[in-house]
Amino acid sequence: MENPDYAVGTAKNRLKIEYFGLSCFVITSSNGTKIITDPFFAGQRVLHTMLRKEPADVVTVSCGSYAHCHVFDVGGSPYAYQITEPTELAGILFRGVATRHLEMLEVSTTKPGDNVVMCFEVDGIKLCHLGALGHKLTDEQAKQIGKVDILMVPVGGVSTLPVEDAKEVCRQLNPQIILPMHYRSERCDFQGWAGVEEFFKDRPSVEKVYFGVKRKYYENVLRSDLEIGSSQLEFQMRNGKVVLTSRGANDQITAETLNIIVPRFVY
Amino acid sequence: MKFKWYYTASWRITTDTGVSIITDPYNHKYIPEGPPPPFGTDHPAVGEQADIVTITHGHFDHSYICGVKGVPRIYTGGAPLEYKGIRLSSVEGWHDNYGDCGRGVVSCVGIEADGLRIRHMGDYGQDRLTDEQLQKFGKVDILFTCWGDWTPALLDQLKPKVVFPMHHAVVDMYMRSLKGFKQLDVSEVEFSADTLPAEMKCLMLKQLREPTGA
Repeated sequence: MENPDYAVGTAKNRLKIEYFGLSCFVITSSNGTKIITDPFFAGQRVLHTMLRKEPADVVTVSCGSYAHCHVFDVGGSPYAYQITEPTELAGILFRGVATRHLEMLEVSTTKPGDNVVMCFEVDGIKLCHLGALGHKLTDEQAKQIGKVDILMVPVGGVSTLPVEDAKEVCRQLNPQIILPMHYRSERCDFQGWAGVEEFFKDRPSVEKVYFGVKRKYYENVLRSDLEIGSSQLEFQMRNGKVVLTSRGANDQITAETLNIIVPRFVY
Repeated sequence: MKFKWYYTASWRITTDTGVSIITDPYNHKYIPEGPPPPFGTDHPAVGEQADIVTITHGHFDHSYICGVKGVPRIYTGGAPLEYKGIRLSSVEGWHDNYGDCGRGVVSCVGIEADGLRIRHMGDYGQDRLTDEQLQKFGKVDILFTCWGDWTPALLDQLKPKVVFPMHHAVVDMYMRSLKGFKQLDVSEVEFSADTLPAEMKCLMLKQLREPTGA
């Protein structure tokens, strides 16, 4: 059954998020402003769909790894935001918070930290993209990031923070909705990376985990879920709560607990 | 208008009004999981700010945005872009003669500012430009090109006023045979629409970013 709110609710203030794989999300505001986060280099091990010159207004780059900074695949002559000074681009204020990634991945020397956590607010929803964060946040960093409604967090480990630390970061920032990213899947074959299920397997209830569509149990159904679910998530801010209003969602997501949404990749 | 050579295909073009363009920023460090580097990639990054960054193709030594500071506008080809009084356009060229089966497409980026028509060829490496491509290129005043077997035909077809060899270019017999060839010990030169030479000049500059070790 479709979400009744989808038909009733106005089309205004609706934020769209599409997941292209790894750390790459395409975020479209209600007035059509497009932000692309961390475009990746699709190579031998990354089989995700390439962006193919998806036009954008702003592309954010969190770190200098080729899985995060391949801006060539982004079209539409965007601004590249990769610094920590707050900057207004396309009517949206971008803030970067300097963090580090793991020692083994120190590839960039032009950034204040090796990794920049991106914070921006679109349609009244505060988004935070952790990039290739390699550690738990310090209190100072968590304060700089501030309130977060939707958090995009790397959960694969190995080249980013361990999955237990990722959970700790989620507790630190206390977002309403979590979008896990940067994990091992059939489209992204990095040795040693954890699958997304590691991130929520010890949660008391998996009912709050959505794979595009709501599923009560998560047991070896990743593939079929990915095929059923909508790759385009839509969110709306209602009375301080972020609500998932995608066509595929059977139920509203509310902010009582941390909610994890695993979006389907764009194939 | 000033032209400064950092390394490989990376140049800084500064217009008379102070707008700066950095072309093809390179990846300066070897990444274990990344594509294999050519020799001598351990160069210091460009590390400077620019208003515009142009990228001709997606290879890592031409498209590393993290080598550039600030919040630049990126131009990677496609529809023409007008920004800060500069007109950017591109013509599709090819990395080699094998099209999509080879190393793929290269957006030859055109920059029009201060009355000069500049063309950055990236890793262009076709034997000859097709008539269709040649028509799209139009007139070229200043040309940045890598140096190889295809270069004589390219210069013959485009007939630029100034040529800057780049991208691991070495002074070879052909370069020496050019009438207007000059090897300079500087990394930056200046040209304007009035000071363009009547005969073609080929200027081999000195790379600004020297390698820091193997």
